[in-house]
Amino acid sequence: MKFALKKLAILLITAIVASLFGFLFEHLIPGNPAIAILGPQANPHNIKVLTDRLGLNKPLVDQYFIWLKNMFTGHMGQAYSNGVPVRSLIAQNYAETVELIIGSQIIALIVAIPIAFRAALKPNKLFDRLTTLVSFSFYSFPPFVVGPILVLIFAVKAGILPASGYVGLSQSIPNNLKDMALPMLTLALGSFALYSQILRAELVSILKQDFILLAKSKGLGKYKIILKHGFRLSSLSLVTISGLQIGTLITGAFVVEYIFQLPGLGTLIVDSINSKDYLVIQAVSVLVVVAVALVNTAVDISYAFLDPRIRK
Amino acid sequence: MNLTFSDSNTVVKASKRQSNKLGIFFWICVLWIVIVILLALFAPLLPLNNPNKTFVCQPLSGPSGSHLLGCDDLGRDILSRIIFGARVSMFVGIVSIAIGLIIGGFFGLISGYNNKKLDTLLNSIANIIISFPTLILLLAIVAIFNHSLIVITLSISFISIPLLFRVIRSATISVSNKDFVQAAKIMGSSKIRILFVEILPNITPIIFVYGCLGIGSAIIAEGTLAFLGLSVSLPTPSWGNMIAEGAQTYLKRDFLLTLWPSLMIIFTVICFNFISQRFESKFNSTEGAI
Amino acid sequence: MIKTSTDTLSVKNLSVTFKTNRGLLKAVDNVSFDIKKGSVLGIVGESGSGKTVLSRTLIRLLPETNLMIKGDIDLFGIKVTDLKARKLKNIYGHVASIIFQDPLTALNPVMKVKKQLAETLKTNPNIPKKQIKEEVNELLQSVGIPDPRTKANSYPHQLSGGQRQRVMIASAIANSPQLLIADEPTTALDVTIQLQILKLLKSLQEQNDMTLILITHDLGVVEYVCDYVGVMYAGTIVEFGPTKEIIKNPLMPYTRALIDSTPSIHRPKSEKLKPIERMIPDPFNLPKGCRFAPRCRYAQPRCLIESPKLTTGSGSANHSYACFYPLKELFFAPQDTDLNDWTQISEID
Repeated sequence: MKFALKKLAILLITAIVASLFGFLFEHLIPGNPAIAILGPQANPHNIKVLTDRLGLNKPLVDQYFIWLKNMFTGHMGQAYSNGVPVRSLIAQNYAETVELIIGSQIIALIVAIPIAFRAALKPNKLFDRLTTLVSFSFYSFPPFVVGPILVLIFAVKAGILPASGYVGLSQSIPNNLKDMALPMLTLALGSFALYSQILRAELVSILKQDFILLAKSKGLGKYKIILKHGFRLSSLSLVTISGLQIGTLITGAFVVEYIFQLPGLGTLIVDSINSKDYLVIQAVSVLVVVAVALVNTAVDISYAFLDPRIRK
Repeated sequence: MNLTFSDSNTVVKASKRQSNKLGIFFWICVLWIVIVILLALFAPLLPLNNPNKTFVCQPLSGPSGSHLLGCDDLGRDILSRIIFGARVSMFVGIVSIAIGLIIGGFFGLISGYNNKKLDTLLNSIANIIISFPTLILLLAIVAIFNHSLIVITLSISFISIPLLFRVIRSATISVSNKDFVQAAKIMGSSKIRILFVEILPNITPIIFVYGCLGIGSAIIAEGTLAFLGLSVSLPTPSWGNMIAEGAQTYLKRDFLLTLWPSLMIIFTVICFNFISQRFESKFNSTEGAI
Repeated sequence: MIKTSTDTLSVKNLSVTFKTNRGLLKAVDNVSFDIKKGSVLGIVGESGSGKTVLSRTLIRLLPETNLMIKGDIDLFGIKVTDLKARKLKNIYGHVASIIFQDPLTALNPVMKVKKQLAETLKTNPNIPKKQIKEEVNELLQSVGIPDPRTKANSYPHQLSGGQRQRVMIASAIANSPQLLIADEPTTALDVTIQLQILKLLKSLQEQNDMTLILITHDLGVVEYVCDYVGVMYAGTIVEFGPTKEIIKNPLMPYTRALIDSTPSIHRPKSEKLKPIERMIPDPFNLPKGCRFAPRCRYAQPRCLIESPKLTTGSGSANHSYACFYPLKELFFAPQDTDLNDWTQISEID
């Protein structure tokens, strides 16, 4: 309980810092925030209305609380480039990003777990060395290099998967998955490299422990030992790592969206930077920072449930 | 895209095989990086076509004797664009990490050595900055200011500061607990002397290990921004924007446009990572021998 | 499941060699002994004498990569050395079991006690699934754990050291094995708990007519529990026989030295404890001749050149030793021979 409370306190602090970051973002933009938000061609009347609404003439502390209230009530303003409320822009775009992340993690885990097992059972043998080398290289490949290579192989040369296009998950599941296959694969590669190496290292050290030998001496089969005793414990470090890299993963997804021109939060934020749509940039950034903090807290707390030694 | 040293270092650790020898691949990597740096430095002096000049050759014509890597869609010489692109990557990578090491290293040293209150404060600040996703910070900075080479370099160095701070801080803590430092303290050496004469030389291997790792990450960070069109503006070549140009339009017709800059970035980053890894395991194994 | 057919555990010319980066390491060298079902055998020796490797090899528990096993092990009629690796699990738990030194590392830290015990019971097809919960409680009760229902629901770290060791014993005897190997079962425990655990092992052994092999470095423990004892030195058995006889009348100087250095053993109050001088030999660079000779107070030139075989000599038929000059024959033992001279001779040689 104490542990969970401590983690929640950290979450609260992070959320406050994130909100300050988002709030200050407006003010760091050179010039009047109202002009920045409304765009260079805004008419003086609108600027005055917005200045009043944001309380830009009031002290900074008051402005912060007005901003915070607006964020919480979903009054994030509207994109000046097309007049669409920021809230609905995010609502339209988040699903694809979430799907991309979840899909990539499923792929990464499905491939990484058996490979890690195989490698850990015979450490330093050919298979282990080979997969370590491959993982090490994959980890050095950024998505913007991997993406085009995968498109070249699977779309251009083999012609199996589409290189672009997007059908919503609600419209057609098979078509959606077909369109999302390459993006998910691109994002999965880095995670795969990380997971397989972490899991392998963890398994190698666990398999050396006495309780594995005891399990063997109980007459349990090899696979039962590995699954019940080895995997359970090594999955703990997997959970920690997946929590730690969630930020990298979300931003990685943004890049992948941009590569495949998918309508997600990443494409939204890049387009907004190009059109200087500050409110959208601000909203997406704050959303990501808060999401990362939330996931980290969830991982920390769930970790306590998975590892009885931490509880108490 | 990531600049999270902790993550990549776990992979390095996991795959580490301790050995005292640096090995042939280490020297190949060093050679590659020296070549890339020299090419970048002396690019204007080399007998190359102007990288921005269009139609110096047939657009999308493949490699030939006069244009070793072929030509892009606007008839620009790819070899010269790649070499001039190296200037961007290398400048951002080396300069940003150098700044990060100077600032992060300075604070890491004084924070790790004997200053409880300051240490707690600096460490908390570093942890808060680190908890923000790297790319989000970069995008925000680029959105507020602009995407010139200087802004990109400074923003990447800003992100590297807390990460390098953390590494150097913990190295300082472990070194300052060693006997020879305690002995120097008892003998009445000044704090500054202890920091720079006793501690700093002992953490240089760590600075080197994480410096190399950091340069690799910084190159990828710049490449990512360039790929998103948020680094140096076109037509100035950078590896990232060359990949973007090639991949978005010409992958089907001529994938070499994408391949060359991709290979450059992959080789360079792998080399930096590999040098870092070899150096770390050599450092660890020699330390173990003492 | 494999059935046992005889009532002798017989080990013949057993050698275990590891392939390491430094070369071959012979951890167990040409070891032979027989014991009857239902008896208690102690294997004593310093760390590095090969006793743990020997005990684990008896049931082939060591990972068999980079490992060579020579010789025969006949476990109550089961030729363990001939078994295929995948058949081994059929003897574990039901024919033979093992408990380890440190119960904290030998129990899975993230699994509840009841699950770890149930897992063992489930390998027995004769126990219906419904009964497993009840069996777990009975098992815990039989190893003397108070309030088994609550303890069954605990994780290992929530138990005391003694309770953890009891849980491990429970897991080992769950399927009533005929052989139980206990590898330093009390070393990691408090002195007060040690005796309780030894008593428990002894009573379980008597109740179930189980054969017990106790690995220890403490002759006091052996004296307390074992019918027979085998003394190991540098991979070989140097003396083997009934415990009482060996403790009263050791023939091999190493056994004598062990007895003299054991605080817990019964001896006249006037006698002082004597540590054994020098270190055990480097297993990669074993001395020529008798392996104990360089440390032996009674060593003669012959000991440094020839290696003695395990024989019964002139004594009783079940007491064997490996020594050219067994202690009772040595009336005029040179008390403080300068050993360096002997070592030089062997080096020149």
